[in-house]
Amino acid sequence: MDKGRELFKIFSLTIRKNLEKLKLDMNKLHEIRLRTDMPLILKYSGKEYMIDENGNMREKTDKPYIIRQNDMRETMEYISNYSLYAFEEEIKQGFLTITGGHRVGITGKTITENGNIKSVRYISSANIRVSHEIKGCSKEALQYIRNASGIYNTLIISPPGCGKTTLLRDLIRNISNGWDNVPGRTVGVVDERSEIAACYMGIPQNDVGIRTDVLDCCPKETGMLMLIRSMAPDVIAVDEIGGEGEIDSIRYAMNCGCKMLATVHGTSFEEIEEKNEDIFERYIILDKSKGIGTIKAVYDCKGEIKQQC
Amino acid sequence: MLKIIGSILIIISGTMIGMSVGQRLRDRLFELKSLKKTIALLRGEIRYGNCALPEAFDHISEYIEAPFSGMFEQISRELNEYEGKTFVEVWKKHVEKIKSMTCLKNEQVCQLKALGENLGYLDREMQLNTLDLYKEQLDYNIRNLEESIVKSVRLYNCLGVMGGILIVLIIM
Repeated sequence: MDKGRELFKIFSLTIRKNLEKLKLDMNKLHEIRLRTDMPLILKYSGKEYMIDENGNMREKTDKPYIIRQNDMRETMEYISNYSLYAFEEEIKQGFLTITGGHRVGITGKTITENGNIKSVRYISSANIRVSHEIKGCSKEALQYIRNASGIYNTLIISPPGCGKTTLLRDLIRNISNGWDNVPGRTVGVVDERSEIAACYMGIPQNDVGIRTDVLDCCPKETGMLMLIRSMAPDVIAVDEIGGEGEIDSIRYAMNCGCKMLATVHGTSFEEIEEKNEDIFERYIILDKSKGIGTIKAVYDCKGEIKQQC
Repeated sequence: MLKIIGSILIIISGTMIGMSVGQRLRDRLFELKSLKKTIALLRGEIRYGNCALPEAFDHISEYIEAPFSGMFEQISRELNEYEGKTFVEVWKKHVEKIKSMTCLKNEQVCQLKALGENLGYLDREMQLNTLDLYKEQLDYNIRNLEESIVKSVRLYNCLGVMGGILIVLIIM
């Protein structure tokens, strides 16, 4: 409940009251979507819900609760802590991360300069993706990535919303704390979007283990090199890799003897092979065929399938 | 005998009134300078720390003098409660609250209130410009006051004594 309160605080007073009345189970809540002059939509345990005029959750209703422009403005004010200017960089990318590691995606009128997005004004839609901390969800994955001396370089491949960040977070925690009889290792995390550790004033709010150092809000490319030099980690973890420079940094880290844990958006191993990102030793593919976070397949560096369910 | 004691008392109280008015001017100068320092700190928090306003207010409240330190601390606390008020409302409410505790002129209180209207608006550049604009106003106020304060204090002191004597003369 406390975690819910914390999250609901970012909504305008009227929306907050409506949401609090629902008594939601935060672990089942995945998304809250706000669109100006449109109904509020919740994604809750895999289904879509609206709020009817009596404040109940319904899959279908004639008179859903509508988001007003004022609600939207107030909500954005709270999300940005009355200071949109402090989130310039995040807004340029279209989303910002709030206390608790939840991600808020936004759309509205963009302002461009020389073809680059400078800012988003008149924010009309927001999508709040609730971050989940599921301790122990990496048990299955750990079996595939452990080896005699520690872990393999591992890439988690998954479409959005299949639990890759959640899995990564739990892997970090287990590797850092040690699991079964495996001793814990020093883990360095470059948390560019503050989603893994959800740092507040530099201190991780999520449990990421006792041997974990977090570089918050740091670009991955430079962050990884910084970590190698400054903290001598055994394992480096990053979320959502993609840029050319990032791949180079990962190569560099691997050559330095660090093990890499990374995630990427995608659906299959072939896709990654094409993009020349097949420098890892283990590839875990996620989907939600059997609930969020299902391990669909595991590949090793030769592309051989380890398991297919 | 009684008359003489009464006259002395009147003159003394007249002098005191004159001195307290002069002291008010000195306090005003001190407060304006304290505000200027606040703005410099706030500017730093925004420019280098890229802090959100409530966070910045909380930080700077430790370094500045009363009554402004209390004001910034309370604004920061109230903003963090998210009670459905806009930033300007909270800001103005708290400026109004400390108004009676300061020696600022009405016009200067209005300037402080107006500062809140533009904070949090648009990008970082805009915040810095807003703060600079307010700092210019402060500079102007401080300069004016500094130029006149020595003369004014002497004037109020004299007026106090003279006023006391005048009243005594009229009564006698």
